[in-house]
Amino acid sequence: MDNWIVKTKNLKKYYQLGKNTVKALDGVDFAAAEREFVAIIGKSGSGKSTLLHMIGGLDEPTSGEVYVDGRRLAGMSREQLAVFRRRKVGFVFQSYNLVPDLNVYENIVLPIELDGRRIDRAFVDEILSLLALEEKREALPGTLSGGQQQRVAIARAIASKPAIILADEPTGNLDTATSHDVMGLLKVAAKQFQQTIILITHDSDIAQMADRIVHIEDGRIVKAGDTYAG
Amino acid sequence: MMAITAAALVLAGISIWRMGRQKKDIYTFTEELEENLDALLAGEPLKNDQETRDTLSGKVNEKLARIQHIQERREQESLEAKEQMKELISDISHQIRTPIANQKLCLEILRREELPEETGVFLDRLEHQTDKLDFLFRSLVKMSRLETGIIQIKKRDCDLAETLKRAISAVVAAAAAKDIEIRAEAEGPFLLSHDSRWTEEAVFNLLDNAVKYTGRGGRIGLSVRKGEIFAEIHVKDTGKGIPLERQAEIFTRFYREPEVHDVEGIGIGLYLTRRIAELQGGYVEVRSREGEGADFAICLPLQERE
Repeated sequence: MDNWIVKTKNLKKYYQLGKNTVKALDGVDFAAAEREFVAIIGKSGSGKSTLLHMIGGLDEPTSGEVYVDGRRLAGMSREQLAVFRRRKVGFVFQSYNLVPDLNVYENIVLPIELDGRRIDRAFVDEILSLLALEEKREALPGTLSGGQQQRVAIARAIASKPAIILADEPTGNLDTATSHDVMGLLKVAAKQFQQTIILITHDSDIAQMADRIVHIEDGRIVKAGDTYAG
Repeated sequence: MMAITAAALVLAGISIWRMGRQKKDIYTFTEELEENLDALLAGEPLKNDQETRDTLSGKVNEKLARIQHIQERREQESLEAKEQMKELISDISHQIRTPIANQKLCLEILRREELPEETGVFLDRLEHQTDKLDFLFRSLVKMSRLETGIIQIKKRDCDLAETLKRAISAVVAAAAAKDIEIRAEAEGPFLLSHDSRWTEEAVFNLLDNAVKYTGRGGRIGLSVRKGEIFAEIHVKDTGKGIPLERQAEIFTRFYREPEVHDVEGIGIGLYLTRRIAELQGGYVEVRSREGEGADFAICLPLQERE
């Protein structure tokens, strides 16, 4: 894989817990190609969240390297990391993290405005339409269902045109049928906007929607899987 | 003294006004630049690219326009290369079909002859391999057509139930031969914007697989569910199921189940199915546990969203 957009090299994260060393990540070599939709699956405590946090520049590794979109994360200052996250990474978490006083549209464009960039209205409209949110444009998050709120969070992640989207159990708070729709839309949107997505989940039903499934166990990748070249 | 103070104030006023104007110019310039960069990324026409005045934005826009032109030319070249590839594939497939057809004819003639038993066995094998070759080529041609965009997906409002009926009728015989019951639960008519012909192909691939991987006396269920956003076409079987680690891989090109190399196929059915769903703004999914059958679904958007 030479068109990778994310790559980790012998990534390690050790925590000191009393006298014991906990190896959250124990030498992970992970790579994701541009436009790929990768699911990282593992039980809780397998190290999948830690890996995602390292890729998103939210946490520092004990040793090893992370590269995202041609940039080496180690050695970046706090401010540089903040800018990196704002420009290169879109996050979708289990909790939707929408601002309750802003309507759907305002929530979606908020990160772009905070970054002082111009809002590409046509692009935002396209996202709203694809995620079936057109009619909710003016609605406040409180009036939306869980699935709709998560769709807004996905729209927000895509709208700032990041290099990668990191999704951490995005359907964790949703019922099965809604998870289905949300994942379906995430997948369709990823293809439509040629977005790279790395998703972590413990749920195999969710993981199977990805182009590739990576298994992580005890801080190590046990199976990296073949990709669907689409 | 008064005159000097007044002059200083006026000068200060002018320079503040100038700075304000400069700032505004910079903002306008940046705004326009960003707008044009977005247009460039989206492949849309640029604004003010024919600016002839000797201004900063004029110079920049001129360069942007050139970049866009180069991009367009490269795209054109890649399209042409694709076109050539398409012709090559169609030529090859045409050239190969004739000898295969001839080979089949010869085999048929040989069949009518009185032959020693041992020769008969070889003849069976030869026939089997010829059929396989034939199937392989047909599949490859189909795939290359989809990939290179020769076949355009054309979505039209029509009855999904009709599409499904046609798909079922194509596997009924194979299912009957294995004593497999196909049960279809579809409340027709189900009006949906879809490409009937290619969706039929996609559903057929799922049904065909279900028949292949389900043992004698098994059951296959075909049903349609209407979600909030997608219409889901489910094909459920009682076959051997797929372990999780293979559930993404099965949709890759030329993927074959490791333990079933004796079953007909070259591993493009699911790949095609996935492409067909994606080209219609939908997706495919599978739910399965090993030994407990599989539930494949093609999900197509209920509403046309372009």
